[in-house]
Amino acid sequence: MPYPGEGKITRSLLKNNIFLSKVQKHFEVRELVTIGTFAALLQTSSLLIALMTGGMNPLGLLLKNVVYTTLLLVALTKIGKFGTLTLFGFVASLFSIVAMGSGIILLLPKLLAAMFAEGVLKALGGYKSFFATAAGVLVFEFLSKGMGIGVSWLVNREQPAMIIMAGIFVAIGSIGSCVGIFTGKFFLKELRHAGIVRR
Amino acid sequence: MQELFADSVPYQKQAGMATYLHPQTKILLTLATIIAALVFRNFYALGVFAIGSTFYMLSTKKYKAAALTYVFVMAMWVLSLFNIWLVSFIFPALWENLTLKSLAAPFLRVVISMNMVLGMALTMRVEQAQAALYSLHLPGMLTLPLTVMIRFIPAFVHDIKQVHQALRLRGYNLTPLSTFMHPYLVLRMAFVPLIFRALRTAEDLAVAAELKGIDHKEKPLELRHEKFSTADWTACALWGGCILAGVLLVQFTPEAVGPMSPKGQ
Repeated sequence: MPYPGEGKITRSLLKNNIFLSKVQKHFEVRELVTIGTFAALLQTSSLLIALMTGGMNPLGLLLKNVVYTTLLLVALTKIGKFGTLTLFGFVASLFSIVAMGSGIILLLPKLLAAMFAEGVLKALGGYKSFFATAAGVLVFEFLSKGMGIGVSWLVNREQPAMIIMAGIFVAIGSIGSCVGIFTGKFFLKELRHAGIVRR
Repeated sequence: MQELFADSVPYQKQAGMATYLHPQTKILLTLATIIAALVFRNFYALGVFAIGSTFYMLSTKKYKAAALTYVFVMAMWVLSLFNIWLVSFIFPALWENLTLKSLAAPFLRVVISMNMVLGMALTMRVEQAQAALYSLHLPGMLTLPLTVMIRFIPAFVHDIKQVHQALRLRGYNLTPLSTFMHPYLVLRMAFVPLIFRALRTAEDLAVAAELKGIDHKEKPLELRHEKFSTADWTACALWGGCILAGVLLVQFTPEAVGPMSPKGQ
């Protein structure tokens, strides 16, 4: 019985797409579930931190970025397969669009930033090396934030004060991202001790 | 494991109109409404969508979840207003250019998005979500994480409740002030347990998915053949009515809001 709405042409195209089928086989169900869980966790915890610390003040921004980087580092180390960062960035952006109705314009810049960071991560030694993973996360964070400012300039170029404010916020957030690398390392140590992360 | 999935009550016995909609209809209506909310900048047009999506959310009959969502969004809005007021001391022009309607527009967008997403997440089972996403011809490596994300929301809310109750049992009460005063304590007593629970949830969900034979490489098995019903067509017609009302309101109340809109457009 044909599946409702199933298009034969699209299905055959997907089946014959060697690249896509290789990527599909690359990830296990367990890993995809972890990516989904962490992407949802990142977005919801960012919202909760914003609420608990009284909105986007410097401390809230710092804390949000510390948490974001920490969780990203934990997720990447737990899965540890090439392409995780790209898939993670893409899925998290999709969730952000669907759950909060924002960030649709940032989807492409984030995807590009994630792909570039993935390349840097691979060049530095891959997911087995903590240094390479941390460098990849930082490159992704800085690049996506930089591109975000660029998009913000495109949208609000009539109000330079807004861009300056965004720049200040991003600078504070970047400090948080750097701190997040150290907290991430601490978390990984604890999670390895608990047997949750085995790498 | 039961709480990680939507209600195990038989489908027909679940109350509320949103429950009877086809999963594909729910996903498409959610996406279409969010895109419409992004496109519309008129306060009244957004108001129409906010009212429509609120009815949709309330039709799930999850009144407590709805009330919590609105309190949460309202608190976020008040906080953002407070922050804009603070920033206006540095940039006075920021406050002068703002109107109540231009401030309310982003708030309405968040309300619309949350109504639609929660209405979908609280009434859809894992296999329904996956089958619906699969039928939209998205690759499996995207449909599986997206399905998990939809189902993770209720599990995460449950985790937050448990951690909060554990903190209260130990005599701690999390407030914005206590977060400011003791960030390390909050990190250690609220954030770390939440991460541990989330990781456990991820493990549980992965095992459950494997045991149920859910795979991103194969077509998901359809246990119950869902068909488009009158409720689906009615929902689509109502959505079309909202779009029409929105377009008419833009025409007859030409009041644009948002940073890109020239005043008095």
